[in-house]
Amino acid sequence: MLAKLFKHEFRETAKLLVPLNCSLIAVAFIGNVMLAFDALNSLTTLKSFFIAFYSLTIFALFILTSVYLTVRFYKTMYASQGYLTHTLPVSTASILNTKIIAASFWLVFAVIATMFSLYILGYTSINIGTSSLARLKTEIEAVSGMSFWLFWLLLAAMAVLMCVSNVLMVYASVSVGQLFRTHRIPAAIGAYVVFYMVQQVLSVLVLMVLGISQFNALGQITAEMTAVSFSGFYKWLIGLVILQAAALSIIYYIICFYITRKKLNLE
Amino acid sequence: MSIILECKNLSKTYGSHTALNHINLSLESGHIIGLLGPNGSGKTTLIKLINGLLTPSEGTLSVNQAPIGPKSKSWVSYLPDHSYLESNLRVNEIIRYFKDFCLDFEEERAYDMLKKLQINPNDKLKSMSKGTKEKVQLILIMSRRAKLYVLDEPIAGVDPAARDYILETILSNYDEDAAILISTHLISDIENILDQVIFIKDGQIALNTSVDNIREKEGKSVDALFREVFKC
Repeated sequence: MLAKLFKHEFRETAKLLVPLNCSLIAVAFIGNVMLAFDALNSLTTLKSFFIAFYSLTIFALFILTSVYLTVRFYKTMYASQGYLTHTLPVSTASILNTKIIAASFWLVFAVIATMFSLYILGYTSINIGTSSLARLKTEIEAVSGMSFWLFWLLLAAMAVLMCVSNVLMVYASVSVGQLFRTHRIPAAIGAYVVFYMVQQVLSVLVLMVLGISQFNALGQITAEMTAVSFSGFYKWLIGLVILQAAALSIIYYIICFYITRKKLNLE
Repeated sequence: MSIILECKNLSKTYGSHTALNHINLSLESGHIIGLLGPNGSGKTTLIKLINGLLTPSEGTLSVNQAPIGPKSKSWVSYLPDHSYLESNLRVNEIIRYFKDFCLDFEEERAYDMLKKLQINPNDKLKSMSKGTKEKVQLILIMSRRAKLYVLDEPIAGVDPAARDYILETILSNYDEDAAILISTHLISDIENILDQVIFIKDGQIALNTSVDNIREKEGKSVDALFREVFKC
């Protein structure tokens, strides 16, 4: 049943999100062709217009993806289509997991599509030599205090976890909103604002604790400080962000699950 | 005949408002049961509880001796009182969806009924009239071989000619081992197909008896008795 839920969720969401991601890639291809023509290099206005248009496309991709996934979650879980979703012979956890995994997938997919579009744009205009790449590797290893590949792996894990955490924060807000008999959407927005503020305060606290601990470890800030001195800071920063995103994801998931399982109240 | 639905001390409250008040109820398979009551009496709340769309404030509820969950949902075929399907979908896509999730869904029967009603399976729901959408929903629900059919106002939004078709569809598409629970205001239209009636008033069961009993003992039709019991 879980496989069937995934099949239908991806089939439905792909109808809008695949063309949306493809449009960003198409814009990048157009840009690539434009940059490839030397004759156009002097047309700075056209280039500026393209850069603005490309930036707007990326912005639109993330906004539309987030809005669409949020509206879809609300409609299929707590509005009229919830009558079908919640009468299927599947467990609450299966329904919730499908929605969360599919939404996180599409957000990560949008990140990958954006990176790919940047690669397409830069393919003809930026020529990174082998020596530049080796220098970048050495510098990243010096600053981060970890191997080049471990750094990127942790960064990727952090990005995925932050996508999951954001999806869950929105879904938990929508779930809290449905606890109200009236004005469910404003209540969901209110819940989101509260979650967001708590998350921000938590992030500042984490950074403060980290900053103080690193400051103590270093003893004092001196003029001789090098990038290597900060390697511990970056390690801790990435680790703590991952830990915070994971902890918040668990809390938001519990909120979603509890409300859907114990407090479901379809109008 | 076995007990298909059992409610024990079932209550549902919304804040200070009590929608259902300590209901005890057993329904046997093989019957068509009318769930009758005025607006706000608690009919839809009871139906939502049976389908797991609400959680009880107190008491328990079981379908075929299983608590409300994936197992009970696999036995209950539910028709809500409003449109609940994605309007962008085509009828054949919705049929595929039902076939995937409801193991008792008979695709052939669904297409057969669509053909009889001259509904094109390739049409999108949003291109259909309200009445046609209701017929599509009913076809989907009655194409299942469920143990319990729960129909919330199945004939409220359609013309009298369509009502006859809907009632005929209900009668000709359910197993004798199954039970049908129909909630409606249009008692005179469905009275002839009912075996049993449950009158629900202010969240409590006011009457639970067979239609024959009403006719023999009271010497009245169900409609006449309803008007008497719920007289304003």
